[in-house]
Amino acid sequence: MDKSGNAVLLIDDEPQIRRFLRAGYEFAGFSVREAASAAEGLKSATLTPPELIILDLGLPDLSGAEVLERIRSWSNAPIIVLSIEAREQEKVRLLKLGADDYVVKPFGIAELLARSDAALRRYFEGSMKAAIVKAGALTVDLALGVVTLSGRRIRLTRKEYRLLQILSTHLGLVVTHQQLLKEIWRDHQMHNIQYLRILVRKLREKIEENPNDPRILINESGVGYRLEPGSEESLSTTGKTKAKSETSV
Amino acid sequence: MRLIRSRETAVTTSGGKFASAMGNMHALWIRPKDLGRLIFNFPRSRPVVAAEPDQGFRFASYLRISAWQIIQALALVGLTTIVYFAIDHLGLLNFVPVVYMIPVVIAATRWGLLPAIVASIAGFLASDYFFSPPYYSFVMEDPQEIVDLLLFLGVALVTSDLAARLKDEADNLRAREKELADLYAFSRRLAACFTVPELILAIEEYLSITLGRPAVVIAGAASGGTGPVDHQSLPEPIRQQAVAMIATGALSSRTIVEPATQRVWLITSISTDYVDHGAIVVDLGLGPSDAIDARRRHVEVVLAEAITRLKRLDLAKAMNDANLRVQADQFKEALVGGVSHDLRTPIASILGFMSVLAKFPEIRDDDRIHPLVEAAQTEAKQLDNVIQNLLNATRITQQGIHPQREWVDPADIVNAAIKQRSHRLAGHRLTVDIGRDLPLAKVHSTMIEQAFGQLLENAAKYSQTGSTIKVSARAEQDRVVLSVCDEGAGLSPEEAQQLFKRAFRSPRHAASVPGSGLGLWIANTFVTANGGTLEVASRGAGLGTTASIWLADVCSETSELPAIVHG
Repeated sequence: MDKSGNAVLLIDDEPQIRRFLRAGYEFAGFSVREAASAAEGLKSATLTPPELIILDLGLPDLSGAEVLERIRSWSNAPIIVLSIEAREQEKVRLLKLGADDYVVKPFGIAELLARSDAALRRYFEGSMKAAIVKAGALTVDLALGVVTLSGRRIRLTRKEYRLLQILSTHLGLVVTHQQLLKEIWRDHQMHNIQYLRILVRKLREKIEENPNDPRILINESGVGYRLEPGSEESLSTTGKTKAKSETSV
Repeated sequence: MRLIRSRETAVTTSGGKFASAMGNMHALWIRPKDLGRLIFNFPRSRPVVAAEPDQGFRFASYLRISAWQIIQALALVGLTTIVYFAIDHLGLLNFVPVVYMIPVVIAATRWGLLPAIVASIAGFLASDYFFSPPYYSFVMEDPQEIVDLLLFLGVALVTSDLAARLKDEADNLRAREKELADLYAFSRRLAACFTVPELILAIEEYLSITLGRPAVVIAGAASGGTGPVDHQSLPEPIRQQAVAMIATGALSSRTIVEPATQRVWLITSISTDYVDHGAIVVDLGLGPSDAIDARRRHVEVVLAEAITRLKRLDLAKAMNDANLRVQADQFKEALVGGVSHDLRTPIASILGFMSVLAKFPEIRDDDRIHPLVEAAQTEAKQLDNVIQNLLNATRITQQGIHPQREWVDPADIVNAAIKQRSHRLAGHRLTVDIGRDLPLAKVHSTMIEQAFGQLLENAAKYSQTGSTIKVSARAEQDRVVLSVCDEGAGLSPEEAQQLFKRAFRSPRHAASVPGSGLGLWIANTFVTANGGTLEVASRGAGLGTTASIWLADVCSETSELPAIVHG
């Protein structure tokens, strides 16, 4: 993916955080713009719309949620939220308001760049609906409805496939429990999260090498699930850089 | 232990009114009455238990006083005779001796028995000499006169005795009244003492004034000696003895005799049940043993009163101290909360910068530098964990915890906790055993993750690098057990008892392994709030530890769910 043209707008009131974000994004080939307040950020985003927005929630002049809503009212550009508090409900609310993903401080730049990649991919390819999605050894052919693991075809139930399909279209991005429940069971089982847990467990048994140590279908505590693009994917986009530091245990 | 002149310390504590009076206080022992008026507003009368002068001097003065009173009594008799002479020609009185009852009664009520007896005899003689024929002679002719005069003498003597007794009673009553008033004033004064030094000063002053002699408090260990050592008011041998006796600690009350002067000194401890305030040394002076005893009793009454007040002050002080501790705790909480927030942003920056650094090929590919960057990252993460713990502890104390529980796969909890603490577990062999088809647990997942992460962290912290840490999740009856088993330091029975106390650190590790003692307390709080139980077991020190989280609220009918899931 060519990112040389992509502009990222960093909205954060902490100069030191902006500084390392700038270094990281510039290293990854982005052109970087900074804003130290919500007002400045909104102005900058309106004047020259960026391809990606990194939004800190602890801004002094406006709540993160409000900034998010205002940008979303006219723009579909990916927004990744930075938060200090690891409060699940807050994260879910922000995702519902239109944030594409979040990272919790303190975080490594590799994690944020991976989220950025995923968000940009979805932003640019969303209209084209990429037919084939790869996550580690897993390949999902969305057009044919065929799932293969290391080249071998695996059989999934309808609900398992639906779950994998939703996660695949959000490859690398978190999808909330509510969103999954709603899309898999329609409105019938909205609050029965245990069904989702069991479904995930069943799916993991089929797609994960070790279902008890999942590397593809990742749990985001209290928020949702994420289909991890895996190391092969990250090698193809940002090189080896992401490798050791964040993704693997 | 030091001799103190606590009145000097009290000057600084008890404010202006006192301080101005203290301006010329160096002569305290010399002018006790002045001080008494100044502080207690005592009347100017002589003290209750009068300062008794030396014996020889006292006898002489007694003689002098008695002689003077006798002369006064005789003068009264003389005066009566002259007055009677003046009015005798009016022939108003037939029975002359009755007139002499006047000086007798006056002498008895004013000066006591001896002058009254002298007045009676003088009256008898004067009556005989001047007014019974033959006049100007002691000879009596009329037997009736003789009987009358003897009768007069008898009545006068009895009256003298009665009146003198009455006088003594009245004197005693007045003295007791005065004593009570003084004690009352003393307790009022005590009630106005709000610190121990003030109180000790009051005792010293009161005893010095009422006895007219030095009373010196020797500070005990608790009071902490203040001010210069008062060498002036205590003779050296007494001071030495007193200090030696206080040092033994078992001192109650006893008297010692100063060898050089034979003066008796009383040493009494003024300690309460709670605090040892030292002892007071009082000069009881010289005199017969009953006088010494009376003075001693007086001192003891005063001290009993003072010690009651002292107990209350000790209690008040203890309560005040406790109050201060609570305030200090609140301050600490606020400080921890504020500081933690301020620390987290720079740490987030540091970790960010490190992660950017680690991406540069120059560093990434350099085998010498890359491990350093990774190590720095690990340490910064560790620091962040510590601050997170402080924040959690503050939050728990200030706001309590409000878990939002939902169904969670225990495997996800275990994996998330392992991922969170991966930097800590890197040096150990980790085996993970997660049972098949575990029931879901209804918990606030991040809380249990953090609690389990703390167990992992402790296992890594208190066991050798390279040793094995076994992690398991299994179903047991109606519960799910998440456990961490290490081969490390283990727990002594005493440590096991105190493990969940806030800020507990075992003395075994306090110096060698860093920590705040908050981790396990937070873990326990989180687990309990989620309806679970945290158990830490060890076969003993050095024999490894097994820490388990038991989650009770589980959904065991997961086997029935697939119907809906697949349907």
